[in-house]
Amino acid sequence: MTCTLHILYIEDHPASRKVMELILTDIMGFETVTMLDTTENLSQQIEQLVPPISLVFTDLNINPIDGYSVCRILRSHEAYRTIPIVGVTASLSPTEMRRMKDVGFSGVITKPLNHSTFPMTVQRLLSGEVVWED
Amino acid sequence: MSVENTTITPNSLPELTWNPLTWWKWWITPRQVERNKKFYERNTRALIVIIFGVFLSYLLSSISTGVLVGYELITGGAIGIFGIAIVATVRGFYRISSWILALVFLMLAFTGLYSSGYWAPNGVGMMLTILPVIILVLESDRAKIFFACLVPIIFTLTAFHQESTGFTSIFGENYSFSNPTGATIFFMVLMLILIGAGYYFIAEFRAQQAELRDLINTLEQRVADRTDELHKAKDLAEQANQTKSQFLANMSHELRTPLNAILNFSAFVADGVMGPVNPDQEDMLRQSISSGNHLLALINDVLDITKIEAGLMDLFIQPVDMIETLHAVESVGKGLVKNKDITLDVDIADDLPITYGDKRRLRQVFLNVLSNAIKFTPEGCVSIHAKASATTICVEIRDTGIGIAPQDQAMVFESFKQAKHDSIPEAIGTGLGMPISKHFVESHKGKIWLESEVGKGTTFFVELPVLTEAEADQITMNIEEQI
Repeated sequence: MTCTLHILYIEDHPASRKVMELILTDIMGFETVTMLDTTENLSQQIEQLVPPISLVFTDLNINPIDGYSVCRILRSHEAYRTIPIVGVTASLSPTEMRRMKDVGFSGVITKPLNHSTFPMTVQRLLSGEVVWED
Repeated sequence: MSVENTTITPNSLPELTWNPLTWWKWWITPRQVERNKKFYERNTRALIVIIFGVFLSYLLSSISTGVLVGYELITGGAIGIFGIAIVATVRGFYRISSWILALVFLMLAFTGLYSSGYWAPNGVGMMLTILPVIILVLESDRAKIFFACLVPIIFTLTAFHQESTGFTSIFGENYSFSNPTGATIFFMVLMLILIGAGYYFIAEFRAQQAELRDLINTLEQRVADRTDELHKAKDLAEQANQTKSQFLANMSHELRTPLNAILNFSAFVADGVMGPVNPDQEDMLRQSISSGNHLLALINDVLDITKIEAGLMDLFIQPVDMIETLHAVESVGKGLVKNKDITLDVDIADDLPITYGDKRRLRQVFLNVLSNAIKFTPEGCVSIHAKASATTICVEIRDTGIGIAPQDQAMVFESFKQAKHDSIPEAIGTGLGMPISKHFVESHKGKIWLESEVGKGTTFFVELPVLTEAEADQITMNIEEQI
């Protein structure tokens, strides 16, 4: 399966980046996956990306700007207003989920990623569904 | 936990001011009698002093003139009534006795005026009649003293006036400073004592007001202190909970993040994504994955039960399609029975209503029950049966496994307890699945129970009420309040 959609993943943990990259490219066949390892100068960084971005994953526990602010900043850009922005986190509580919903996330994916259900979740997100029960 | 701010409202206290203009209302509406008991007692004592002063003035005037000036009868009556008042006071009928004493006082005052012969349409006489009444009735303490002082001043001025003009004195024909009548002495002494009694009364009144004020201040101070202490304790508890909550979130993050790499990299290699692996290597990787998954399950369970026991477990409410949820559980179950001699029967009614709740947690409940059923069934059948009534969704998960002995059945839902099963080697785990499930079912206002027979199998029943969004939100609001 080859897919030309451009996916962005913001994550500072190298192993987690590698896992995501392997799943998205080797297993799911996405060709353009951009990884950002810091949220420093986020606005400048995303302006350099090749549009259009179809899906954004962002770690919640990231510095210097946390995932919630990342989502808020992205949502303020025209190109990111409607695309799915998905939080990736290893610690998930309903309070965090409610906060994610409030800042405009489309869903959440928990670490460790389950590589067998993950492709299905991505399909649902791309079709415009929200995913809060992963 | 919330501490209500406690303040004393003025309405919760007895009236502090003894207002002679309104005090008779106490008699008409006998409210707060018990609270005012001490108050009445003090007023009565003040009146006793006044009446005693009246009698003393009678006595002095009689002795000094050697004549009982014609009001022996009334004096006797007054003594009788005074006695009744004292008895009433001793018995605790303060209101009655204060009334009687007030009447006696007025009666004596009028009697004195009559019998001394100047009860007449005479300006000064009228004023002297009215003044004691004014003194009693006036609200202001200063005015009381002022009017009380006026009485002897008027007497003195009148006496001087009479002496210098030769007019008939209000004290009678024979009046002069060198030859005072009994009535004059009576009134002089009476008024002096009245002033003294006024002071006494005012002092008492002030004292009791100060006492009450002190009492209120002390009470308010105590309430403020306690409220302060409670606030501090609450802050501390909240802080501790916050720390615990933060710690759990951190642990969850720190423990699960490495597993992301461990489990997924092992799977990629085992699946041959990274190139061919020989069967031995694959077997080892599969065992790594299986152990990693087991570790993940343990971490999840321990974190869950810790949150539950700390009262920090929250729910994320969204619409739950129970049919979809149970089919997702079924598909996991199919994976679990793949390598076992077990058939998985699923019968899910297609009219299960949409309910509101935490989708992940409800799925976790059914997964726990189902995986246990499969785990403890060496061979045979495991079935999921779901049906709905008007207000509830009932799910039965039945197995033909080893069953649970009656003495172990209650233990199933207790934390950290697991019956020993020598015959089931894979029956290892935290033993936390069922207590966690019970918590989630009950936090959704449902019930979970089991029926079992050793050697025949076990059936778990989960009964969940169909919740509206508002009802489900109420659950999280209650949880948030506890947190």
